[in-house]
Amino acid sequence: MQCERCGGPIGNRITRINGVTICEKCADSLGINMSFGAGLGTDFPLLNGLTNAIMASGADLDFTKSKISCPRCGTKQREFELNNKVGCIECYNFFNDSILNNMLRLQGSTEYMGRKPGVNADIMPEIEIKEVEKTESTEKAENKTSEIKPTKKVPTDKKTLYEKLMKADLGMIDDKDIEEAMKQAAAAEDYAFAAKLRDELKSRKGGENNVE
Amino acid sequence: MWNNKNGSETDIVILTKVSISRNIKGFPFCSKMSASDKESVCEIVNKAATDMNLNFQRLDSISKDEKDEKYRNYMIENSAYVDSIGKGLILDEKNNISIVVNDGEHLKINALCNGADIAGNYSLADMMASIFEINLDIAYSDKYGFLTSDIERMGTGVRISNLVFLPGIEKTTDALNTLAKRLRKYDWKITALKNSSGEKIPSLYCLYNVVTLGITEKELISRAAGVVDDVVKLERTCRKNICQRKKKIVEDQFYRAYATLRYARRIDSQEVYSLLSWIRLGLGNFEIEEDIKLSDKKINDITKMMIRETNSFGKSKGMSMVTVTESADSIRAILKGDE
Repeated sequence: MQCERCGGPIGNRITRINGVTICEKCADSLGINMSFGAGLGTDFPLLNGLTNAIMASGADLDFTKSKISCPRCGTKQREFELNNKVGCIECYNFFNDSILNNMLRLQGSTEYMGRKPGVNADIMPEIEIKEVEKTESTEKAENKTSEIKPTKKVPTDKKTLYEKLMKADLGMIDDKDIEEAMKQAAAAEDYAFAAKLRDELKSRKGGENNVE
Repeated sequence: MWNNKNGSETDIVILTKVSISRNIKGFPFCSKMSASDKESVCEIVNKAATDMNLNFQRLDSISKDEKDEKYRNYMIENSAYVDSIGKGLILDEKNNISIVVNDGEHLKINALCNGADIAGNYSLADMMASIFEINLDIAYSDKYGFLTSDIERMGTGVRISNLVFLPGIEKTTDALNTLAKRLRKYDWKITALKNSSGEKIPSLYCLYNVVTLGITEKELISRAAGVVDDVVKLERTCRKNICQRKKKIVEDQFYRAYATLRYARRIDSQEVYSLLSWIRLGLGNFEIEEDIKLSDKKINDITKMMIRETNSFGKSKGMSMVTVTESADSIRAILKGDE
């Protein structure tokens, strides 16, 4: 079906006036489009005119801050908001807030959790990965203890204590053992674990004080 | 050639495509690139590709027939076909991976296969991407991940899409809504395919991931597999249900559709799609006569061909339109096969 006025295709709304079928655009330009207030009757001719005028000039209306643009590539805030596309890497710094807002709205997260460049992503099933991690950590522990052995000469039973504590639940172990293990961990330069043990001790002593 | 690689679920999933976007530091993104920027990016990528023993081609210097062939094999997209100035293409030895240069993003690494093989396809594309990341200075930040011009892809830069044939779901009341709701839980989207004049193509849909942030690659792959599983399960149930309830109607439409496709001399693309959806619905759900030799591959081949040959962008842009006679001829040739 074609508009008998301009010859263009007729969209969703067909308007007939004096036996002539015209399209939406022509109806708009002739001022006979009842798009707004059609359900309300024509009691609001003024409002109708106003809304139609706003709709017609909609392309020129600019609600975004069009003057803000990236200093490096000149991408305008408006362009970015319309297409969700940026022009250069600097845009990521410049439109940081808008990008974060957008990502939160689109994806519900702004935190990157993917892989680092140049590393193949690990997509193997979980069970196998756990095994790999375990062997790695035990290997590391073994390496560390074997390095310490000749220099520090830690007695063997204490070394096993430290290793045991690495895996065990700290709540189940005596204060004395933890203290010893802490010293060993410090000697083995595993400061993170030593700090953990220290905190455990502190919290225990603090708890006792409170009771008293 | 990726066309020889076959994944699973070929009765529903036609294609799987994994696309990884990467950009090179020091250049603006494609929308703001000058001609000289494009040249320099092409040069840098060309050098890296040669180091990696890959063959770099300029899209603006190859012949139109070659370009047509690449478009028909899903190696380049409409945008690269229409405007190929300053754009390039890298193919690996087996033509399994295509890397499009300067089209939307500096590098788009695509891995395709028939049917569903998401993990396999992903690891292919990912391996290629990581080699490029070592050889080139890639735009990356710890906070945002890989930077892309399209902020919807920022983060992992990975888009996994599946082309699926869903006549059963489409012909079942409300099944499509149920599916769309279900997919939202995965942060996945489903869209209907449209032809060049904006009409919806019957029964063909595209599934793709929305999230690129807050998700690891492993999680993404497992979600993609979950999506395909759900879609396949629902579609099979719908097909079976329709075929049981309206057996005579489906059978009738199936044979009519086959006869038309097999012997028609002139056929319009929209008609092909609606006939194919009847064939797809019926195939495998009741016994068909022995002299009809249909397979998932034949149906998918016709679908893939029709999407690329008739869903083009008009003669004005330079793509040679396939006439109704030609498409009828090629459909007959595929269906005849080794009959």
